[in-house]
Amino acid sequence: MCENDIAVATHGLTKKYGGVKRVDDVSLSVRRGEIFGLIGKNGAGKTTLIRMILGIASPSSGSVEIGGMSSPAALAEERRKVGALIEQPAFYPRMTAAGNLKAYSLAVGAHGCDIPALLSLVGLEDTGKKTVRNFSLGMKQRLAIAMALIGDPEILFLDEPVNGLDPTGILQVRELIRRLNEERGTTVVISSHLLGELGRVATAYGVMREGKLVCQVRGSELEELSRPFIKVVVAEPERAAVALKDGFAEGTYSLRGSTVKIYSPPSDLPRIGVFFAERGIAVVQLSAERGDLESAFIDML
Amino acid sequence: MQKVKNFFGLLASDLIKLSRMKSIYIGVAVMVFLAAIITLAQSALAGFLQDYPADGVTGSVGAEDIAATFMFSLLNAAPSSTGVFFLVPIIAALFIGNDFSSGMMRLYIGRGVRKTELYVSKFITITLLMLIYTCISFAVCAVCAKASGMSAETSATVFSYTADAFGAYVLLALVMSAIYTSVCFLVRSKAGSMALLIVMLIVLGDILVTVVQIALATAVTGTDVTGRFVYMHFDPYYCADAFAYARDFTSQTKAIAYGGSVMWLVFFFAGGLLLNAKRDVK
Repeated sequence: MCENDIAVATHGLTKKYGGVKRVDDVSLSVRRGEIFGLIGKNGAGKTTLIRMILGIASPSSGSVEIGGMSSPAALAEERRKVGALIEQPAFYPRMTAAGNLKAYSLAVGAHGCDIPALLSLVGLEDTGKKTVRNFSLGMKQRLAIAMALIGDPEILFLDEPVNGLDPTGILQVRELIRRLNEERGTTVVISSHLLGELGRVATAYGVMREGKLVCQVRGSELEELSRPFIKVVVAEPERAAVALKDGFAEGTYSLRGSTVKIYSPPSDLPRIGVFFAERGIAVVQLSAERGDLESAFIDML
Repeated sequence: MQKVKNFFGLLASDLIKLSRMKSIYIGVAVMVFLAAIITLAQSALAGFLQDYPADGVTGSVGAEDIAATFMFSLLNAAPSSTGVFFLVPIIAALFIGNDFSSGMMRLYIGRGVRKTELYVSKFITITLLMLIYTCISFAVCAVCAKASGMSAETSATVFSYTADAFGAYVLLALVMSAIYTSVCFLVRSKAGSMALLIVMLIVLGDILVTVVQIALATAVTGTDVTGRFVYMHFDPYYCADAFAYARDFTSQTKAIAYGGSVMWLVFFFAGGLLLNAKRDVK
């Protein structure tokens, strides 16, 4: 992979608040054209990581690279090509949607931005003179997305973009993200704890737990994670480990605690039951599971 | 060149946002109201003195003195008498605090706008507002002074101080803008900034001046303390009233008042800029 393919990278990024590491030595890379899902429980450090990448919070240690640039001046220039929705939507409540977009586009140097087209893209073209303080939560979220899209950004950071949206709104945002990615080649980084939503759009994932990046998965690794498997809960994990080593090739099974996952189709269920019975290993539960990303990620979280 | 263009875009955006704030128009209405009230009070008092002159004073002389005193303070300390130093901190706190509490600062910084650019843009915007308010206050007070019915001689005396006072208040507008901007950027909330700026106005303006006056009077009983009181010109909040007499300033007073003003301007502007550049935005 060429270095130019990396849109955003962090190297050993760490943030301490009051001596506690909220983000701990995170090194991740987001490739150009990817939809990167950042997953983690509340408080896992997703937002803090995004804040550091965007320069809102300064790292305690480590560095950020956007478009291959890492010096403060170059980063500031690169950030002008980045759109962001961070935490709650932000805007001027006493101004209209168009007024907000106008003021924001001027402030961020996106002169000549087509505001009616942006409003139409997020479905707010009919808001007219209605001020933003009278908008519903969903409308505010759409406006925040429109603000993030000002200046046709190359990279888009969306922190919990579907918060407060109704099912139709969620569908529209998902389609919008997909369209931006496919038609304009926009790199999108989405942080969310709604795994189901991310699963439908993301092409790569970063999993965060207690400030650390547990893993990054993309391409074939993703397919592997969503393979169907046979779940076996055993009474003696130590003996099971030895038996599995003899009976299965490495990478075709995993053992965590007393749960064994054997990546085989459901038709192998009887054969696996016999395998443990023949070796005298007591089985507490035996079931065929349809592999899905959501459960794989929940295991990691 | 692109950087300059981007900065002017940011400044234009701030000016648009400021122009949409109702409070700036309410502020102008308050200034006009205060100037009108003071003029009417002067007129009523002058009428009363004409009808009931004090012993040994002819009615017209007493009324003329009252008019001169009222109109001198009203016109030559126009920003102070029309409440500019009370109104602008409130507007500044609303204007800057709103960007922090709404999360807009986060969005700007996330799009590559530097914290220093944001600070300078807000400082320029508040300074422009302060200068416009200063000009309006002088204009309104000049109209009120003309309409007050002072004699030509008294009017000429009162107006002879105005040009110097106006120049001094322009300098003070810069100092106060630096104070308001730095405090709002440090406190980062509408209510907090507003409270702190009003407390500063009361403590550094009224309470400090009174305390120093009492202390000097007690320490040097029977002595003229005017010479020592000159150091109060170091306090910009005291200058908010004292600059009315800018024409009569001695070279020592000028050095303290203007030198002090420039010093506070640099101190607050640079201090706010440096501290803001180092702090994370919530």
